Parts: sequence; structure tokens; C-alpha cells
Amino acid sequence: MSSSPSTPRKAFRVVIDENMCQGIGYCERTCPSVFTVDKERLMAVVKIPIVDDPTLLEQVELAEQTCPTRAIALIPVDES
Amino acid sequence: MNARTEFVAPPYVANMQRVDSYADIDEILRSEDFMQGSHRESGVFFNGSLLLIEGHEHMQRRQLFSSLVSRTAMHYYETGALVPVIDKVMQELRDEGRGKDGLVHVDLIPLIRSMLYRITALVTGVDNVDTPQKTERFRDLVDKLGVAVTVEWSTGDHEQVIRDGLEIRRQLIEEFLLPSLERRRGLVSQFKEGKMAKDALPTDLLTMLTLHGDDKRPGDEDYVWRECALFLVASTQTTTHTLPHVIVHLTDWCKSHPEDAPKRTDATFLRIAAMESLRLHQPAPTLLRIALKDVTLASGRKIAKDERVALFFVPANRETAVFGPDAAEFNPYRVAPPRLSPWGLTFGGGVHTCIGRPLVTGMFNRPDDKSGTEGTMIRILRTLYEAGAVMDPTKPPKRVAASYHDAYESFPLVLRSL
Ligand code: HEM
Ligand code: SF4
Repeated sequence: MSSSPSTPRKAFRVVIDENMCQGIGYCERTCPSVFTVDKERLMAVVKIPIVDDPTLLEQVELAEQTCPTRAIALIPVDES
Repeated sequence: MNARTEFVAPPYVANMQRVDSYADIDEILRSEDFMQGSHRESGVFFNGSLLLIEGHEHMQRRQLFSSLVSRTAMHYYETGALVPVIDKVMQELRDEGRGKDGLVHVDLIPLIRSMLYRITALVTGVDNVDTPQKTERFRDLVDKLGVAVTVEWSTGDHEQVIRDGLEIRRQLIEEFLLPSLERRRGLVSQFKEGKMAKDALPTDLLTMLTLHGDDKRPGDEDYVWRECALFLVASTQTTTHTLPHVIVHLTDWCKSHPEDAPKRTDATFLRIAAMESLRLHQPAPTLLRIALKDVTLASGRKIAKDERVALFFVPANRETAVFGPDAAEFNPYRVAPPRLSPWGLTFGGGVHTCIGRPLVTGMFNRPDDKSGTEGTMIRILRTLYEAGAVMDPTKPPKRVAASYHDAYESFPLVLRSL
């Protein structure tokens, strides 16, 4: 699925709240292309910091809502 | 007036290893070497629900329920369900709730329930909670079901509590849940036949379960009612148990810090006060976990395979080594140590961390976040303080007698400026 040139794709910065993340790993299991867990720090790491692909964004949103501690934030990036 | 409740260890856990330390509890909750150990006696009400399943099945179920806690859903629950109900309830009190002194006197416990019932119905997917009679009936049934699903902490005859609870559940199913489920089955069929768009379906628990074919599990047709019971009770009883403590603490705090009294109508101040109060008071006396193998925690504590341990959040959340020398005291300006939540362990930890937490404390990703929510607890507190709420000087609150919950069964307030 791709968006038409007249409707700019929404882009989001994916951020982990390090005070909330417990390294549970549901994010990685839900959307492995964007999240991985640093097993030593018990902390999620974002592999793709800005996501604008709609299909990928859907998975990131699912991860955001599935994360038990709600440690993931999706912050809109202003379209340039 | 000292209305603070003190923690009493319930006899139900007397023979279990008691874990009091913050670090130990935190490690156990996050560890894959432990599984849920709560709700054995009350299993008939909760077995197979999100709270009592583990592993991949648990993650898949949290994914399935994720739309119930999306930012859009949270925003709607708060602005579309909670705020109109709060306004209505306050208007009724303004019109009909005055005593002989001309002031509004109200018991906070039923008041919280009446403010939250619409969110509870929306999240679970219960229709027809529309007339005053039906609303009252729904609230009453959910309230009574709450007693049965926490039978472990009851001071009464446990077998009787369970029998009563099953009868209450039967009535709840017959009068509310089954008709709501049948409507959703119809809508989901229309969607599957291509006659309805997916986003025209309601976003609620019963719809998600129906979409997933879990409304009628072969061999376990009652499962759907057990999942409903979890969401119905978890979404009301927890807030009803914990919110009054905020008022007790703020009453004391503002006596010694009068400069903060005007801030009780400020959402930011109420949020830090609510979080601090949640650190000190939990909705359940303890959480229980079972070791899946012999475990030695980082502290050296040993827990044997199959052993059930009782996690005592009250001492853990008041540990001076974690929250400072005044950890047992209420201080809304306390700064939580790095990597710890201001409410400590109160919303649990690990995979079973409370799914409703953002609904209660609000969702803010950034301070300027316009789509954020205030949180149900903060909204209710703000409304009460805007109405001039004070604890009724003539009627002290009463602690619950029927269970070991750190909660009140009655909490009289005067709304002096309503
Ligand atoms: C002050 C309010 C609340 C507190 C303190 C609270 C506390 C908790 C705790 C401690 C747990 C973990 C239990 C365990 O690990 O054994 C939990 C789980 C849960 N809570 Fe809450 N809760 C609150 C409000 C809510 C609300 C409003 C909802 C409704 C949506 C809710 C729904 C649930 C559910 C469904 C679970 C099970 C989650 C799972 O096992 O994955 N809670 N809650
Ligand atoms: S699911 Fe949440 S808590 Fe777990 S690792 Fe991912 S971001 Fe952290």
C-alpha cells in the first residue's frame, strides 16, 4: 500500500521511555523490524527511529498498544 | 481526624513465603520463571482470562485487546463516556442532593461507581445501560460480582461468597451480557459477509472476542463470561478502592502545606498526588506467583519449584532504600528514582502489568500533547475539588469490614461549593 503524492505520508518518531520499559519484549515479538531488546540492559532498542510506511506503522502501533508498560511513544514528525 | 487505613496481612497467605522487598518483587513479576498464582479460589470467575494465562497465548490476547486501550479509545472513554456522566451526576447532586444545611452531602464510594459505570460498559461492550433503573441494576451486579471474584480476601464464608457470586453472574449474563453478545454476533456476521466495514464495528471486549471466535469456545462456552468478569471488576473496583486514599492524604497534606490547597483543582498537581497515593495503597492485599522451577533471586532469596509466594506491595512500595527515608509518608513532590514508576509496583509489573493503567493515570507522551488524556482518577478528583469537596467532619469514613482490602465501604463528603 502506498499513499498518493497529494496525501503526504504521516511519519512518526518511535521513542522508548526508559523509565517505563522493563525489557519484556512484546514489542520485538510484535514488530521485529523496528524493535529489539537489549538483553543486558533489559531495554527495548528502536532499530528504525522514524517510521512512515503505513504497513509498518500499523505494526508499530500494535506494538505500542501491546507493550504492557506502555513504554513506547509515537511522536508525529512534522511533514516537511 | 485520622482516616488512614493500615495494612493487615490476610490469613489466606499465612502459609506462603512472604516477599516484602521491592527488588525481589520486581524481579519475580518480570521473570519468565514465575506464573500467575492469584485467583485460585475465585478461578471459577477468572480462569482462562487475560490475567490468568501466560506465554504466547497471553501476548496474543494482549494484541487482540490492544484496540481497547489505543489512544483514540482512551480519549473517547474519557471525553465521550466519563465526562458526560460526571456532568450528569453532579447536576443531579446540585438539584437533589442538598441536606438541611443547604450543602450537598454524598458518599464517595457509590459516587465513584456511578461515575465509572459507562466506561466499564463501553470497554466490555455492555448495551442497554441507559435508563436510571438499568444503570442502578448494572452497577449493583458488577459491585456484587467484585466481592465474589476477590473471595480470597473475604472475611466471610468463602463457599457462600462463591455461591452468591455465581448467582449474580447468572443474572448479569441473562440481563446484560448475553443480549449484548448476541447483538455483536449479528454485527460480526454482517462484517464477515461484507455488509459492514470493520471500523463500523464497536471497539469493545465482546466484539473482539466474537471477531476472534472466542465468544463460544468449544468445550468451554463460559470463557467469554470470565473474560468479561475480569474487565467489569478490574475497571471499577480498583479505582473505587484507591481513589478515596488520595482525598485522605490531600486533606492531611493541605493542613501542613496550606499553600497547596488551591492546587487541588489543578490536574498536574492532582496527577502527582494520585500517583503518590497509589504508591502507598494498592487495590488488592497481595499478588501471588508460582515458581516454575527452583529459583534463586539476585538477592539470594530461594523459591522452590511449584512454591506459591505472596508479594507484599505495601512494605515494598514504602521501602526507605528505594523511595527515601520518608517513604512511608505521602509527599506529592517525591521524585521517583530513575527507571521506577512514581506509583512503584501498584499497577504490577512484567507481562501482566495493568492494561487499564493509562486510562486511570492519563496518557501523555509529551507535555504539549493535545491528544493526551487526564486520566479517570484525576478527572474525578478535579471535579470533586472544583465542587469544594471536604471529608464530612460529622461522619468519619468506614473501612470495609467484609474483606482485607485496604479500602473504604463508606466515605462521606461535603461538596461545599456545589
Ligand atoms: C487504580 C486503578 C488500578 C489499579 C491499581 C490496577 C492494578 C492492577 C494490577 C496490580 C494488575 C496486575 C495483576 C497481576 O499481575 O496479578 C492489573 C491487571 C489488570 N488490570 Fe488493572 N488496575 C487498575 C485499573 C484498571 C482498569 C481501569 C482496568 C480496565 C480496563 C483494568 C484492567 C486490568 C486487566 C484486564 C488486568 C490483567 C492484565 C494482564 O494480566 O495482562 N485495571 N491491574
Ligand atoms: S514491550 Fe514495552 S516494556 Fe517490553 S521491551 Fe518492548 S517497550 Fe519495553
